[in-house]
Amino acid sequence: MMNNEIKPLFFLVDDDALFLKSLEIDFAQNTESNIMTFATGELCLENISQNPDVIILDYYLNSIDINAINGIETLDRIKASNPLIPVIILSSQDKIDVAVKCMKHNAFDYVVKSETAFIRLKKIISTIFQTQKTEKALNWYMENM
Amino acid sequence: MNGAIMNIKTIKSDKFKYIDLSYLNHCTRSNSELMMEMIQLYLEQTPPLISKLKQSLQDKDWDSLQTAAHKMIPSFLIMGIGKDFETMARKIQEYSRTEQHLDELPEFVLQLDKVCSQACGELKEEYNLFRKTT
Repeated sequence: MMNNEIKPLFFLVDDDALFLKSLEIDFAQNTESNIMTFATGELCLENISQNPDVIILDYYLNSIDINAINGIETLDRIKASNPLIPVIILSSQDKIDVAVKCMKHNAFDYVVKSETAFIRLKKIISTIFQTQKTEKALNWYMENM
Repeated sequence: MNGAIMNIKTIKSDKFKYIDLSYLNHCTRSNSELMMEMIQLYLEQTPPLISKLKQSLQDKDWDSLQTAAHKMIPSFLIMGIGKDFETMARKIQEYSRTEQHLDELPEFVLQLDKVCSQACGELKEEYNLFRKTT
């Protein structure tokens, strides 16, 4: 489930340096985790071999650099590289079509950037780890029964 | 929109502050180094976004205007800038996306330019205060 038994590795990806820093502070202060931050999808993909436990990815990744790949394209490439890495999409837009698009591209969940975003992220991450634990236990029983 | 314009007038006459660092203070657990780092990021990031907002409006480049407004939205919460202005940025984003109510955009951009300039001034003061005390 995790890279090591002690601390999970989280990738945080956003081209908004201010929001990215606030997210990094939230994770550093409220979780026992290793954190890597990236300003572009390209940088995230360059480091994907580190096999993060969860990736938090901004939807609008090409707003500062219009030539950068966007959030959905980054999501597709992450999934092509390793479909098992759970990806949570973050966006300032509270739009159903954006949420549906993210889910169709196999995002684990979609969170709107707001005062409660970090609380929601924590809850989703907890669900991810719980689900992985259950699946692992189920697989063990299936193989040993 | 009118509420926000009235807000600015009130602020000018009463020396009301545009920023409220309560949220930042809470998030950083009053860590002044982290607060300074966040303020520095806002000061680096916001003026280019405002320039992009104004240039995109002038060029009638609605995609670019939408993107610039979108990227500003989280900063209002982080720096405790009034909800009216976040709503204004969301309207710029929505109106430029749908290309509706385009006549309202110049006033919105003007208001955001004013509030962000004022916020930058206030944040520079806060930054200098932190620097003196740390």
